[in-house]
Amino acid sequence: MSEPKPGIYRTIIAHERIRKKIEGHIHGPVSTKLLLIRYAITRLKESLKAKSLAAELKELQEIESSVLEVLETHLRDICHQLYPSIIALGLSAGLRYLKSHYELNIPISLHIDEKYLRLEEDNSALLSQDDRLFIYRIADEALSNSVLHSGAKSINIDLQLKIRRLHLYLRDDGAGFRVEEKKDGPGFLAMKNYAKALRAMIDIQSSPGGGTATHLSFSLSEYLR
Amino acid sequence: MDKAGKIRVLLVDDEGLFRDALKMALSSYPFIEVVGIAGSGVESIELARKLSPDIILMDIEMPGELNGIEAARKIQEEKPETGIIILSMHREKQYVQSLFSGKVHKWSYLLKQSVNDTGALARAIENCHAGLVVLDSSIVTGLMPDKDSPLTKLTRRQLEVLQYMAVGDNNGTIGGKLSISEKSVENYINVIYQQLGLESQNGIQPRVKAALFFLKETGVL
Repeated sequence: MSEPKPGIYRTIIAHERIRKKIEGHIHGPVSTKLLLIRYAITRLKESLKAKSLAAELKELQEIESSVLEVLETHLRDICHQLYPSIIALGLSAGLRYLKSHYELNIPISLHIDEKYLRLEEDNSALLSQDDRLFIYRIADEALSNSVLHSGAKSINIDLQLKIRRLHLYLRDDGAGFRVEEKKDGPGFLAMKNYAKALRAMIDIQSSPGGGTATHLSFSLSEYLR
Repeated sequence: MDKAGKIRVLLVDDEGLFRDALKMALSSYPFIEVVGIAGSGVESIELARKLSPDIILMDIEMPGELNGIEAARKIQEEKPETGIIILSMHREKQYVQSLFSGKVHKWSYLLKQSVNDTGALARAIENCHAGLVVLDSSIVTGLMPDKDSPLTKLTRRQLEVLQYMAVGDNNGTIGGKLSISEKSVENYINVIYQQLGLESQNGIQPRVKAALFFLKETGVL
C-alpha cells in the first residue's frame, strides 16, 4: 500500500487543478474557435482573390495575422505558464522543454541518465503526472532564479537514477546568495512545498560568489516494485 | 482501405466544432472516407476496435482518462497497422522528440494551425497511409544540420529535397515545389541515399530512414 499523501499535497493539487482547467479551456474551446475563424478567413480570402478585390484581401490578411498572433504567441505563452502540458509526455520531455526555453538567455547543459530514459520509454506512466509536475515546477523555479537573478554564465541540469532514487541536480555559476536571507522568500517556499508534496528531499546550497546548487532527491520505490 | 479504394479515417477531438470542420473539409477528397468520430480517448479505442480505420486523426490533448497519445498507443497495441496522425497546438520540437523517441510506428505529427490547409491535411493522410513519416512543415522548414553532420556532404538542393521528404511529401509534390521533374527528384533521392549510406533494412524503407536521419541531424529528434 502506498504512503498517505502529506496535507500540503491536497492544497497544491487544488491550485494546480484550477490552473489546468483554465489552460484546458484556453487550449480547447477558445483556441478551437480562433482556428475556425482563421479557417473562415482563408475561405473568404479565396473568394476575394477570385473576385480580384485587392484592398479587401489586404485587410483580411491583416485580420488573419492578428488571429494567428493571438493563437501562436499570446495564448501559447499564457497556457504554458498556467500548466506545462508537455509533462504528459514524460519528465524528460519537460526538462528538455525547460532547457530550450531558458537557453534563449544562458547556455544550459542537460544530462538525463540512460537508465531513467529506458524506464520512461518502457513505461509511459512512470511517475504520476502530479509527481512529474511537482519536479518540473521545482526545476522551473530554480532555473528562473538562475536566469533572472544570478547573472550566471552557464547552467547544468543533471537527472540521475541511483539505487531506486531519482536525483535532480541544478547548478549555476552565478553570483550566489546567503541561503538564510532567502529561505523565507516565495520562490524558496514554493520549491520546498512542492518537495514536501512529493515527499522528496530538497537541498539548496549557495554562497556569495560561489553559484547555486539545488539537489532534489525522490524515492521511486512506489513505482519500481 | 475500403472496397472503393478509399482511406478510412477516424476523427478524434473533444471539440465538436473542430471535428465538424475537419469532417466537412475532408469530405471534398474522394479518396478519403470519414468512417467515425470520437470525442475522447476511451471512445476512440472503442470505435477503432469496431471500425478498424486505416488512419486516426488524433487530438493530442483531451480531458478524461486518456489523452490522445495514450489512446493511440493502446489502439496500436491491438491494431499495429493503424496509422496515427497526431493533431497538436504545440509547435515546440520537444513534443515531436518525445513522441518519436519511444516505440512508435506509423505516427505523424501535424499542427492544428495547419489544418487550415485542407490539401496538406489530405496529403498527410495519404502519405501516412503509404507508410511515410509526416511532420508539419512549419516545424521542419528552415532546419539546418550541425557543421559536423554527414548532411553537410549534401548540396543545398539535395538538402531541400530531404527536408520535403521529412514532411512526408511524395516525389510529385517535391517536384512541384522545386519546379523540377519527378524524374529529377528521383535522381536527387538516389544520390541522397548513396551519400548517406541508406539502404532498406529491418523492414524500414530508406525514405522513412532518410526522413528520420534528417530529423535527428537537425535536432528535432
